[in-house]
Amino acid sequence: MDQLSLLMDGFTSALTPMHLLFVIIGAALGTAVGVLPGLGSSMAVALLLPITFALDPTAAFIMFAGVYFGGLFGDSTAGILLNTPGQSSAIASTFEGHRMAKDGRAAVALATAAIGAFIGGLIATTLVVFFSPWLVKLATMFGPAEYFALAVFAFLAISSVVSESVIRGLGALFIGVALSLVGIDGPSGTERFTFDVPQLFDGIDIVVITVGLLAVGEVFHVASRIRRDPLTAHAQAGGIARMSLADFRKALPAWLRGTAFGAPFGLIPAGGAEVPTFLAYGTEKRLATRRRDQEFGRTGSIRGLAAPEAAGNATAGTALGTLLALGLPTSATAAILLAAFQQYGMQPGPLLFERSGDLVWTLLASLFIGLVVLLAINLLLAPAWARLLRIPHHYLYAGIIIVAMLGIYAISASIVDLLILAALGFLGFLMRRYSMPIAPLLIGVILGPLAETELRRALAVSEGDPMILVSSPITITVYCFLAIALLITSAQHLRHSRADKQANRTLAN
Amino acid sequence: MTSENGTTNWRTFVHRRSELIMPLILVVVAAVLGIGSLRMRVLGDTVPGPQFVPLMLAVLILAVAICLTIVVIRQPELPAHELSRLTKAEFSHDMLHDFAELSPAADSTMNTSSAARSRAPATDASPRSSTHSVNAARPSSETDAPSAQQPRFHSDWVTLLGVIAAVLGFIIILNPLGWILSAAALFWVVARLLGSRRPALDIGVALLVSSIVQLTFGGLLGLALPAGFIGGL
Repeated sequence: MDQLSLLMDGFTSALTPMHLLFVIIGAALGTAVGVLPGLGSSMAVALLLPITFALDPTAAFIMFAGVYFGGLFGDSTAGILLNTPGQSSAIASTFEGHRMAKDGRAAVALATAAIGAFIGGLIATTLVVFFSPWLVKLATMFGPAEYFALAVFAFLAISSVVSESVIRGLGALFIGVALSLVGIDGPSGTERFTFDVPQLFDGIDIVVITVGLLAVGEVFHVASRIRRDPLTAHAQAGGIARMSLADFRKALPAWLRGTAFGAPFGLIPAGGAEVPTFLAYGTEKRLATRRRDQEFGRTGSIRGLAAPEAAGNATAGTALGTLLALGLPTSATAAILLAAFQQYGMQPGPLLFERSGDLVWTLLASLFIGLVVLLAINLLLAPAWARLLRIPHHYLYAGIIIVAMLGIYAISASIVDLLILAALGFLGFLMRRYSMPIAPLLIGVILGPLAETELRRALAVSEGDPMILVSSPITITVYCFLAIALLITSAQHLRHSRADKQANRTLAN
Repeated sequence: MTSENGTTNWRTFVHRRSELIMPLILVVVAAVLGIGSLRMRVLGDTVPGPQFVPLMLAVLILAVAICLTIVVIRQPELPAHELSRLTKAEFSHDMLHDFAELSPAADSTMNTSSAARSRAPATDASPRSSTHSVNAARPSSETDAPSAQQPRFHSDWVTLLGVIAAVLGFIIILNPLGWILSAAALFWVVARLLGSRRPALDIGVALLVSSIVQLTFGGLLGLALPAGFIGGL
């Protein structure tokens, strides 16, 4: 098959010292970022975006992919050891993982997490390699109306279906789209919302927005809370991670089940790995009750940890594939990766496979290499990562803000950009303070221009007839799915608020 | 609405609804979009033109702002989920709760909305939920019984404004003083504000960090950083 030979070419290119170096750097950075609670791979990729100006695209994306996956390997470490997941994708792993650690089986837990992440990522990447031609073919059937429908689906799924508060999610989304409108309008050449500030003619730089909201915003948020919430970190590291053959055999089906949950979600804009990891956990829990498993929920069941870990990485693998083949970001981190592509003037999608095929296949080959590297460093260096958790938070966050300032100034040498950075950092703080989700804003900024262009293109073709937006089978399917998802979400929220009111009433009595 | 003191009530009312700044921001954005679109000097003759999406967006944002205002006034502050520290409102707790079939009180790392709402703020069982607030314990000036028990997310404005001032200060001194000194100063101030107890050691750490960053980014990757007056020496 064509894919295998392309993949082999990718390997030849990926196994050069330069690219291998970036695999290792990305893997190490990603794991470090994942291990430390309060940082996330989306923040790390955002902070690394300025570097892309100095690197060639292949090396940069290899590093980003390493960071992306590395975050998913490292995030369970703090969760297992400290009951504090490094990222929200590890929450589901923390339930049983920490129980295992308390039961004295931290080494087994860490090994289960690392191997599970490896298996999930491996299977997902293999799926991407073999199915990418189909995805690309599917993408060629997309016209402006279809892309607009997908963008709307991504918007509403991330801002409403999966987020805690629909209204706040929509608010964030719309602010994001509004930010993306600043600058010169592509189709017509009109200046929009630039207030005659020359630096704004090109729009607000996406790097400034992501770094401002994610990195600077986080530092401001931490500043407002650090003296109130003592952020304690007392990790007991216990030797390298290892597991017995019996444990391996117990975990294997759970790993595979987790992967089965995770892989499809990479295709759906559901915001990332949280939904599939929770689904995988729920399934293992149900299976455990049926099996009358004594460990689950008490001393820590290995399956309860294995499945979510595999699910998270499987989602990341297929999400990367969806990004490459369709140009559709399915989570905030994927959206930032999309922005990185755009920085290089590349547009992911069918054309990417045609025009920059060697970059794509080198990237896919390095994913395999990266997974092996990540498995090795997470198994063998587990104590070192645990020690990382002892970095004092004041140094960590001071360092983050330095890197943020540096990144932005280095790419634009513009004080205006630094001021916008600070302002967006404050907005990021406000959003965290008032529970307004940030992912929809990022999706709005990154997909907003695409959505607007496709909408205007579609309407131009149909000469103003809005029905073109719902006339093809693909658009109808997408909108139907969206409607169903919205209905299910509303039902869920209603059910829970009714249950809460009931509980409050009984408690008041 | 029982109250011993009329002004305390009003102040608490507004305090607990400080989230109203968000709809305010939304309204400002909508206004900028709307006024900007109407005053736009349109070039070309694309149909629909460059004003179409901004105007539509302005209307949508106004709608969201109104809904959010109503939501905030009716229910101040979302319940203090354990999850929210990590997911930060990105993910629906109800949905995740359903998927994972979590029982309300059993798990120590999560609390459901009902458990959180009914918990009195001072007697927090879970070790990681440390968002206590003095104000929430005020007895008679609360309007609705369940939400009176919610802990509030107090922000430490002193530290926050200190960090913001440090950032703005950095922006001002960056060009005259150059990267190494400005970044070191920023690092030192922020570390101090965030709780570092070794100011003398920090000076060394700060200079080290900013020099390393200058070397890696400037030297290895060839990104230009301002040298300030040191560069001229």
